[in-house]
Amino acid sequence: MESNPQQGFVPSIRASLDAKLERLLRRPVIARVALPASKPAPAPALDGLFDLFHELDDTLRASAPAFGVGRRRDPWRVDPEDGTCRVRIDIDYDDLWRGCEREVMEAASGTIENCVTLLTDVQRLLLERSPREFLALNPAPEVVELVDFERELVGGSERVVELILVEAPRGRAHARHIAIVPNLIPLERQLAALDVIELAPETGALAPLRVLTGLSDASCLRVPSPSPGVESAVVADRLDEFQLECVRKARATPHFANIQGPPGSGKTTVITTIIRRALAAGERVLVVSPTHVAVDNVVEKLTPRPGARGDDDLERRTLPVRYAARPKKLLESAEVYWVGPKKERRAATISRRLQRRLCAVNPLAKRLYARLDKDIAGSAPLSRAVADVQSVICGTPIGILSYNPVKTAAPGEFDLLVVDEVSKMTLPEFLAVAVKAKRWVLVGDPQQLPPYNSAEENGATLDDLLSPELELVCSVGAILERANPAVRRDLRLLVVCTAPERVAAAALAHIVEVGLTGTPRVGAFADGVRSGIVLCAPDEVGEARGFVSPVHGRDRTHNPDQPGSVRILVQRGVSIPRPCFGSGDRLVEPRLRAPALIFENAFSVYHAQPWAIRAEQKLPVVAFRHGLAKYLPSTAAIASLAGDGLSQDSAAVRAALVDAIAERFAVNVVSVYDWIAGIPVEQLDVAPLRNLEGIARPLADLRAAVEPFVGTLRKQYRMDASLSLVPRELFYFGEALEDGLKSRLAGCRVRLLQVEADGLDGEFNRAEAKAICELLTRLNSLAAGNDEPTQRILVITPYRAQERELRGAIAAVRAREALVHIDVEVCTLDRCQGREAEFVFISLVRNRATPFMDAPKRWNVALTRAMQGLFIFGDIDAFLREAAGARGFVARQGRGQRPKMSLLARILESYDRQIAGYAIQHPRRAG
Amino acid sequence: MIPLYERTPGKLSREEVETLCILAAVGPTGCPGGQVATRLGLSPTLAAAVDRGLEPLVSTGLLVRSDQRVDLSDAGRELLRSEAPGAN
Repeated sequence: MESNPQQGFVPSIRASLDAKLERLLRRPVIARVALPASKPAPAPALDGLFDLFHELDDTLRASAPAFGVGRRRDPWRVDPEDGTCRVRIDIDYDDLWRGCEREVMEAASGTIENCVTLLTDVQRLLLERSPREFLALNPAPEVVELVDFERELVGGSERVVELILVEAPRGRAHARHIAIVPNLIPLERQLAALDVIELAPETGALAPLRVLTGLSDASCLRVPSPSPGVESAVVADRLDEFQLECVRKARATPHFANIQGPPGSGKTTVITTIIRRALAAGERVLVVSPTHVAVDNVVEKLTPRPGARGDDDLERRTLPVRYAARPKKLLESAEVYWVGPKKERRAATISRRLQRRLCAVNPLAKRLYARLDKDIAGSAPLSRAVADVQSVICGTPIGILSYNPVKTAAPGEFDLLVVDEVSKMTLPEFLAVAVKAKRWVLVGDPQQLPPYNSAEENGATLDDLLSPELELVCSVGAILERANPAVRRDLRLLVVCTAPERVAAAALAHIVEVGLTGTPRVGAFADGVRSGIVLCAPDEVGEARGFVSPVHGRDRTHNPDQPGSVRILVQRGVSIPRPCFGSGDRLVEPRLRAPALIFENAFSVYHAQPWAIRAEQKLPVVAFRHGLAKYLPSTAAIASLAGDGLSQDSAAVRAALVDAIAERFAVNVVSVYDWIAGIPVEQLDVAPLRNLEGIARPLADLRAAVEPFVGTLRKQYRMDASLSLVPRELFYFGEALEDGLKSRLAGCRVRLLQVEADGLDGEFNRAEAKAICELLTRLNSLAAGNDEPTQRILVITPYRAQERELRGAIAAVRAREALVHIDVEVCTLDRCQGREAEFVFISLVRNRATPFMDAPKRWNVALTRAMQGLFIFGDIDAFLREAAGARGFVARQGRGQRPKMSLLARILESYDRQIAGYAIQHPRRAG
Repeated sequence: MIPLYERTPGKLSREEVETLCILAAVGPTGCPGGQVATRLGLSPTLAAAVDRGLEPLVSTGLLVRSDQRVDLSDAGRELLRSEAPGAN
């Protein structure tokens, strides 16, 4: 489906955002504020006075339940140290959220750093019955930021039991409930931006955004005009030739400039040079990045270091405004420029700088400032006037829109928007802030982390494309596809829907067309089907559940954790009473239904397949791509549900549907970098990814217009030469990541450290955590002995469970001895982008790769954080054996074969070869 | 009312220091509002912002604005003489 010439991709974007909003409001997790378990307070000593009162009080305390009275307890507990507030909550896990513990957990996780809403009884009722009206409440109910939550293990699943809020809510006395709903504001802002773009004139400042969204064709884009005086100025900034070229392009573009910056290639330097030049030309600039650390890096570099000659930020107006809701997320260097919604620290910074400046040039000012008493309050006129000059405002793309000067800015009011880490931003996220500017410089690296893909949330964006019945059929296909083929026939699934016979017929037709084999019987309960996949109406659930459940005996379900359990798949929009479930029954969660799986699998393939093709390697995750066909609607299912036989019409309907699914995928998962620089459709051979061509075609003219303003930073300045070799060859195929500096360090700075697996195949590994702690202790004492400055260590692991394990282990080490010579930070693969450290430790955790681990972009980021040394901990031998086995197999098969091995096997094989090669060249230094 | 802070004699608040700097920059002969930034030793790029920053001083009667120019009022001249002798 190509974009509609009148509406472009806007309907797809709007439908996606509406669907996400709808999903968040459809079933909000509402918890009751619960009283904490209390201990009786000790009786006050009354020294014989008021004897009767004392006795009465004791009696009451001892037998309060009998009297039906008790002491009032406050459910809100404020931590006097950090001001956070804990509140115990009750969630209806016995009925409403039965079997949905994971869903609740995800809602709570998704709300961390966002706000929960405090509700009275009436407000709760309104939220449940009419979410849209609830949103329109004026005044709105109080919201408080959720910092974290406590969980408890109940019956094998984790439950959310306590919330930790950033501060005590003002209206807590009246709050009876707390709604845990992820933040709606970003989605509303993205929708608002879409309205602005639609209403913008075809040839106005926002014309390029209209082209990007398919509303106008690229012929309306302005021709570039030369930018005089840029070159000589940037030469002074000592940029390399690639950086210089990128700055030139960014300054010259009349619309978009795309700058690809591999790790350590000086992206921040280029960005700050572009900003300085723009400010010198009297322009106003917005700087955004999806991660705080990237914004802070720009802020830090934008401001001159103390004593820097001729670079007064008041003079050049480069004094940035750093907006964030709270300063605690910011780097120390950026915090002085912080402005938040409540208090302003910027004014104080400006006053100090103004004082320094005036004293330097004006002897009278120096005399007057000598008499300054800082404690006398007042409104300094000059500081205030200069503080109002906000030429460069920095923040996260959604957060910055809360800052009044940006929020109230007219479309196109800022001259330039610089986006860092643009490969992590989707199109709607970009558009939300892009409407405030009239030129856009996008800096990022398509070989680094892609946008965050919440498969379940994105899956919901297909709701308007797939009817509830068709979605049900696709989900049956998905469940069968994912079941182990050896036990697929024993699968028991109860499908609850409004038209069981019709859906059963469509499911059968779908199974045949997509070629699923070894499937169990499929049929309607009303037709006498009692085993396999049983479809029943909502009012038949209780009865049908009794039949499908095994009464006794052997059960070979595909799920070994839940023997005897039945999986229940409920049609979208249908609700069934939970008490009719059996004890081990599990609802098929949204993340395991077809829409979410389409996004999850297509996402993995989209980001891994182009690499696998260039690297001439078969990746297991890419091999899964054929499963995608089973999740997508089949022609037979469409025809069956439409009530006619297979026809050309149903084939055309399917083709249009898959095109539309591809468009939703592009809107919600493909980065805006790819939208402008080009979606790699030629390397994608499976639907719906190959259907992305329908999007790439209308954008071809835009790509051609942007082509002169696309640049790549080819040299890197972060890693020692021995650290950049493998990433350069493996992820950039020798086309970028050249070493900009000569290596000053000796030897190969990579070590693979074998840690025997502990026999568990989980998401944490104690043996690796222990080994890492031992090395940290050693490094600390070495740094102390050699009087080295504090060394930064970044410990990276794929899994959050291991991140927790590592933090705990390191805290235990710290309790024993002070690790004062090292500064250790632990983070996951998905959070390490934008960071760097002298030494990086990677904990692999598992000794076999999973689809999650087969992600080239994730590993590219992790392996390029180290400046001086990289230590990889794990069962290295297992991966090296895998690589050797794959190579051996290819050697036996003959030419033309590509080795099939996991990405980690390939990475570790490359490092192993590098280390071995170095050992041959420098036998003495090899460690 | 109990004063929250007791001032040390001879000390100035930041508001007073900046006000005196501005008054000294305007000087006895006055100047165009757009020139105050340069006279203070700040960048001409801040001229418009500093010009806007003169408004509180105009409204408190320390400066007088006529067309594009600003001049010291009698009160402004007196304040400058008492707190920053020799500025003129």
